[in-house]
Amino acid sequence: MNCLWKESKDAKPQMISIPIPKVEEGQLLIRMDYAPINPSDIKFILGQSQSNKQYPCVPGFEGSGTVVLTGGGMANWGMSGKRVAFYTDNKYGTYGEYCIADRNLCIELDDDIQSNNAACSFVNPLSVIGMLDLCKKNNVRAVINNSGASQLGIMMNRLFQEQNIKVINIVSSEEQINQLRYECETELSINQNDSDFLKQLKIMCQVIQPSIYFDAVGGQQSGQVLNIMPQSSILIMYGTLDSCQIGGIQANDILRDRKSIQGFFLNVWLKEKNKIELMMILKKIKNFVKSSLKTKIAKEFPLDQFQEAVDYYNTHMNMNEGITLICLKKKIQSKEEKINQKQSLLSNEQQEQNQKQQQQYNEDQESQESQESQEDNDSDLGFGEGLNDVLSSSEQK
Amino acid sequence: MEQFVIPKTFKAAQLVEYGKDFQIVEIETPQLQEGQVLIKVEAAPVNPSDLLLKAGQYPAEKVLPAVLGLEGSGIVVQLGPNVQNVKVGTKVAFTANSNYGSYGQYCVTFSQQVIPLDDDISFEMGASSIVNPVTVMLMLVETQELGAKAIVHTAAGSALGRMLVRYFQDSGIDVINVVRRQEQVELLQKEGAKYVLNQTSETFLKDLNALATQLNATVFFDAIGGSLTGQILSQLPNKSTALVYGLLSGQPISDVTANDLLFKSKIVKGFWLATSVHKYNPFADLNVSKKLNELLKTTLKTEYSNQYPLEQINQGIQIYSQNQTQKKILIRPNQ
Repeated sequence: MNCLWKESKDAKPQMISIPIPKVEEGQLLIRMDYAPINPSDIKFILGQSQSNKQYPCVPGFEGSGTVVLTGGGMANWGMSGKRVAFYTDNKYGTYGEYCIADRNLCIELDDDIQSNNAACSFVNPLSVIGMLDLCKKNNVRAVINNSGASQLGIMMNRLFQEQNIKVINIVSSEEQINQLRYECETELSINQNDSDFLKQLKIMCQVIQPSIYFDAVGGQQSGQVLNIMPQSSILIMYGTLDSCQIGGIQANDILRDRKSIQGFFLNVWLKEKNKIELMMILKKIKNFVKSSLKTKIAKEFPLDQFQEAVDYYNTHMNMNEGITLICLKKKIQSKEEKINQKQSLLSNEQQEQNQKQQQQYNEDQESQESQESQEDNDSDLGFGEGLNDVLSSSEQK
Repeated sequence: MEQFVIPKTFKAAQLVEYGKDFQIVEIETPQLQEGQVLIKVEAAPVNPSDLLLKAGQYPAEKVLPAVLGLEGSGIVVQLGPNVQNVKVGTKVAFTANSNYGSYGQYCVTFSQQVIPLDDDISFEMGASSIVNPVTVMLMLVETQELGAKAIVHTAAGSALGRMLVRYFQDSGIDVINVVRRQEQVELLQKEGAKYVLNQTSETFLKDLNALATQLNATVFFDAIGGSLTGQILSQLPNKSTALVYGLLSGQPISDVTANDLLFKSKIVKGFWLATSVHKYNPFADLNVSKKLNELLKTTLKTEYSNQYPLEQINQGIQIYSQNQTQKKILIRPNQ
């Protein structure tokens, strides 16, 4: 398969061709449709981030596609052939034609939801859900978010409003104030480039009483904002758009006013969740996807134009035109590619068949109605009839 | 019940303007409000926090003129309305943040801010019972609650630092002491400190990283603030907590990296005696105050270099502030 490949933390990613990865129990092999470029992806590619991915790896943490193989196990029963949106921190990430995902962080898409819209179902919504978690834990009624008009910020406004938590948005232009007014029906926005920015923020803080500052910008401004906030407020850094540090924290704020500083990172937060919590989270994501919370798509790029996509992302970052999307669907394949792919998938098939034989007894106990059609739906992508037959025959019992 | 004659006025060292010397004045004895007690002050130490307060750099904004002095020892001579927990005539250690602090013949404080002293503890021994000893006791509790086996401590050569290393090592917690002068290294080693690093050394951060990893030091008590806070935090293991309890640098805390906050789950908080709400409370819990009394004679003992009457408080402070690593000075307002 073709994919983006990163040798090490500091290495520049490159396009290469590698064998299709093998699935293990609990995992899904996904034929990718779309994957977005998020701020965290840019950081990861530049080697400024950390994750559970081991190097070398395929970058990309979320996307949409079709399940072509499952690694066995009860939860995966019936997933084959389903269109899904998912999050993954597997070595084989979403900037490739195939990737490995975990059943626990994967949702099926209804027919009326398009793959491109669904590709951004996890990273931002999960982050916002995690941040909401922190708010509930700390009995918070209002927060400040910087940057307010990012994709995540817009989602935060909507989700927090539903939970009756106010969001004060720090933005960097008048357009963003209008955008938030239009898209989220909120007037609680302040332009950090205004000369009296801190004064405006202070007045708003006195009325709204935010007690968490979600900061993705950093720098001296972090300390300045924390200073204006009520006692016991918490600064939670969750991104680093501008600088990699925070500063300007006054001793008074920490000592006398009992304010504190910590970080929020999606991978870390997810790692601490148990299976039941993950199921609850998945339910929330499903609702997110079903509701009309469509993310705007700014532009689509094929995988081999990944660098152009990154350039586009960087120049349009603050214009809030929507998500930069990578399309991973393959068009026409050469005969050789088809054969290689079949062989690669066949060897995976053997592995899966062995696992399935071990589960034979359990599966025989399953009632008949759980058997579903296992045929691959997207025959328009030119994989060839032969491959479909191989896939179908292995699933049916 | 013992009765004391309360004078109409008394002598005190008053601060009229931040950064200037104290003025020795005769002030009117105030009426006590609800919950307050009047203490005849026998001994009051000068702590670094007192000096910062006098310079106007401490987060305890007072309305001047005021009598400073954050702690001391003496005898309770009068009770305000609704005071239940202490009797007139009790020998106590106390903290004070009213306008009538311990640098005066009498001091006003709340009854919840006094700890009775055993008979065999002299006024001198009892004068520095709270600011350092209780802080150190609470630091140990905080460390244990965070599950740490070792800590890092900056400005470790101070009186509090020397008290801390004795107390922590006795309790089985290792301390990586950070100082900035060679003589402080030797001073701490004399106290039995196992690990001392000099922050001016070129290899300081590397040495700190090696030691902190080896000992798994996940709690950092910082008395300095400024950029050192972030720099030291970045050398500590994942999930470490920085507890800033002092601001000797006078600079805002900085250099805390996104790397540490996001990917290594580190936290920065404050630790301040005045706002430290704790179950382990020596003011309210008899067992804890008993323990404190015992420790005041041994591990949490303070030694003094010199004693001064009120009239010489400014000279005494002058000498002390030039070298705070030496022993503390004691003010004796009623001698």
